[in-house]
Amino acid sequence: MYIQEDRLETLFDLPIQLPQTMIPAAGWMAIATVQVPANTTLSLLWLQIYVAALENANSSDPCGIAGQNVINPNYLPGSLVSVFLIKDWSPSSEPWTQTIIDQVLVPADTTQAAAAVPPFIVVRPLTSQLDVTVAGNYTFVVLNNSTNRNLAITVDGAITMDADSLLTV
Amino acid sequence: MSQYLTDISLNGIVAAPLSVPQVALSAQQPALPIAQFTLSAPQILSMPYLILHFVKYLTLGFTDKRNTGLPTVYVGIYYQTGSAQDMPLGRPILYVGRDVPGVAVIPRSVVTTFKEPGLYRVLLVNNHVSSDVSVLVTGTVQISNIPTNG
Repeated sequence: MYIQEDRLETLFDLPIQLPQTMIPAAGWMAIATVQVPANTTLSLLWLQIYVAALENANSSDPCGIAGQNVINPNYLPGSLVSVFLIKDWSPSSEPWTQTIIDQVLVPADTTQAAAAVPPFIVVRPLTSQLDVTVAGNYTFVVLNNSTNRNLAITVDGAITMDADSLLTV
Repeated sequence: MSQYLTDISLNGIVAAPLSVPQVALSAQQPALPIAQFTLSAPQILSMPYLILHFVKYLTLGFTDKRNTGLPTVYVGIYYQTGSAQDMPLGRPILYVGRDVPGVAVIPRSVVTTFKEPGLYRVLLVNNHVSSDVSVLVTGTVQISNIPTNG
């Protein structure tokens, strides 16, 4: 199938990009915000979290934060780091209490293959593309779920905005 | 009239990210250069999407503006014919901003295409006299090389 220049102008990629940053224990920060208007689709194609280093880690169990050392053991059991996609994010409320559209978790349990001693990387599966069509403001927020470790984290990702239907309205 | 894309025209389009994760911008150091692009003829620079998220006030002092004609927090493109400036001088050729915390996007109705050769510098600016803010920016810039016939 061929496409025309007009069609290409309605498609563009946006970055989700956090250079290596030290997130304090129990801290969170926003990485990117995207406004989805009506007749537009946001597609999350790719997202990865790189945990470069831990501070204050127990040398024998650097990622073992399960139990009392997590912010919210009920909602985020065994998660060391989380990246949330939140609709209409409020910076004054905890991320996990808000409207979470998607999340990528870095497991904390050292028995899981993905969570060895840092540095390590977790990649959101490419096969599970997420499409968002409901109008609103969407924010990617990274959370350090541990209460006793500072984490040096990098996040990289990309979304595609498709405003094709705007041309035909 | 729109034309079908060719390999040559598609290869002539370069997209560059604009991304500033949540960052503190103080009134003492109010401008943060986040990107710059040098445009040569016959290149075209366009900005299909640029969003500013004024997350919150970090300290609330005087909310008077340095430049009363612009929002209290904004991201703007400055066209510069001389050397690069790290401080906002005058009015940007394109900007998006907020006077209070929230999200602002450049409307699709706004022309966001530039052809004049020169230096285009993107600055994130805290226009407050004495309040510190937390902001983030997400966007993309495209530079197109117009293919020459023959």
